[in-house]
Amino acid sequence: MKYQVEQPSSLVDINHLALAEVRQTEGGGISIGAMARNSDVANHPLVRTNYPLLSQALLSGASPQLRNMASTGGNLMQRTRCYYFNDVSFAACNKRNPGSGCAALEGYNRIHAILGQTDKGSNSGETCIATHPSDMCVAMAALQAKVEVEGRGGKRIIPFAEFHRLPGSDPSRDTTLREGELITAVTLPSDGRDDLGH
Amino acid sequence: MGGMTWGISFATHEDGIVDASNGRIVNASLAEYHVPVNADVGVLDVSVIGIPDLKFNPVGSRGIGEIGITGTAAAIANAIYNATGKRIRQYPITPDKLLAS
Repeated sequence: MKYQVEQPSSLVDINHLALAEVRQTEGGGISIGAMARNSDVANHPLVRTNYPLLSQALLSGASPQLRNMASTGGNLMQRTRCYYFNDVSFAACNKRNPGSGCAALEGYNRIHAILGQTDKGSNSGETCIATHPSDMCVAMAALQAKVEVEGRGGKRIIPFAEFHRLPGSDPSRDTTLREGELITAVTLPSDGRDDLGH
Repeated sequence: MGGMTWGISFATHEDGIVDASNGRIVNASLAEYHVPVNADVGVLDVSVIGIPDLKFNPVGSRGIGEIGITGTAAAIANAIYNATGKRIRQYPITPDKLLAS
């Protein structure tokens, strides 16, 4: 929104929802509320002890000030993006302006995607070579987390690796979240937690 | 010390990238335009020469400021050449440039 990439007509403040808890689940795993702050998750005893991989990934991202504000759900919902998405002076960006093409393909793309991207030429409406910016999500995927979501259609659970989608034929869609759905928590299974690190 | 730190930055980090199609700086934020943090700098050995310059200021300190950058960047480029045998002539010296050379 700061770069005028997103210009929503209305916003809903979800800060008052009681979703900030990190707790042990019955199966021995943990549940991390969608509003739990990145700092609180990284420093939580259950995470530090059982999932050091997640703690390390969180602490390698952003800065302390940002981690104090960034939420677990918000981290998942970061746009898969690149500089050409962020700068609206580039007309071509299939993510920002579906069908407009991709300015990154012929531009500066040293840090862009190698795996999972779609390259059908810079004029194609399907081309996108952006990457997801989250360190936390890499750890969550490795730990085989599950994303709990809730919407008008009720609750459902999405395996972490299926939450973010590849550009395919529609680069403007980053996730498999349906309209009206909200992330309530991310759960981590008990198995394989031990002392994984990176 | 600041000059040496910015020399490390010059040699291995900083790169203002202009998009060839419309001239915009594409990495116009500190998220993409990298500068060194403590983990990049490591230990610096700063020598105090012990000869104050009281004409320059009452404290006697001498400032050479940005001159420290120039030598540091060149020294790092030479060290990389010494270690790899590859002479990279464009800063910043990044792993992909070494792989391509």
